Amino acid sequence: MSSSLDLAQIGKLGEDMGAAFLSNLKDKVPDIENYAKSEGVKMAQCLATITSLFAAGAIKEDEAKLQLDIQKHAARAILLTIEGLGALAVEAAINAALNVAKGAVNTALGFALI
Amino acid sequence: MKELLRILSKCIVVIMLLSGCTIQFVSKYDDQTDTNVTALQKKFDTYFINLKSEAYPACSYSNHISFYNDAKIQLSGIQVRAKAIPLNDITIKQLESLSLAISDLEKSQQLKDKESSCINPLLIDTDQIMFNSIFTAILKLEIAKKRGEAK
Repeated sequence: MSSSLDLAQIGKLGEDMGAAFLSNLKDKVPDIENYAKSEGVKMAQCLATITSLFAAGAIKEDEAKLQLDIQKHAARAILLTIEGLGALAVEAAINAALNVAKGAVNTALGFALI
Repeated sequence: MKELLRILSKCIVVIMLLSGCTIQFVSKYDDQTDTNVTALQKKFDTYFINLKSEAYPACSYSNHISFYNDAKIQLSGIQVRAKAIPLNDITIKQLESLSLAISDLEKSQQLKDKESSCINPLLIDTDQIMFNSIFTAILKLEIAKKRGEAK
């Protein structure tokens, strides 16, 4: 019974871990992308409303600035979500790769060390 | 290259043994945060819808001071809980953004009081969209923290 990983097994392990990592990460990208795009459209529409009202004299500069500030805070919240979703995606990808390694280590050792 | 893979694999094994085999960058899901943020979102939605139908002086800031006070108290409770949860920095920053947005909305309404007028209905719509974007952002991340677990 082998109690260590030979070079060929290590190479295969590296490939399998890499594949698990990338596959996991790729799954999450469309959701993050769609979210960013749809929120970006809303931001642009709201910005257009504020600027057109200001241009038409319907609101004054101080009110326009406050409204733009609200939009900045919204944009920050959205960007933070994208950052968080990205962190969760990387976390899941790393854990998927570690699970692949765990399986390989236990198989090589012949018992469930991990 | 093979030597590098060998060293990398050994490092990963050591890390796994030391770390208990999983990595966590973001806090776990908190159902109280989910529930309380959702409740606050409904409060704001109701506020914007009512505000659009009000004429001056019904729409004035002085008529809505209790709304702002209640909202700030609710938000403060959510923030206190969020700060008590480890690895929750992103949600804490999002709640700060919400707090600042509420403050700006309040100032905006106070400005209109000086003009004896209401916030333009188009701006109320814009504010509703922006606030819902903030709430969605917070909730989207919170729900994602479930990490596919059935709760």
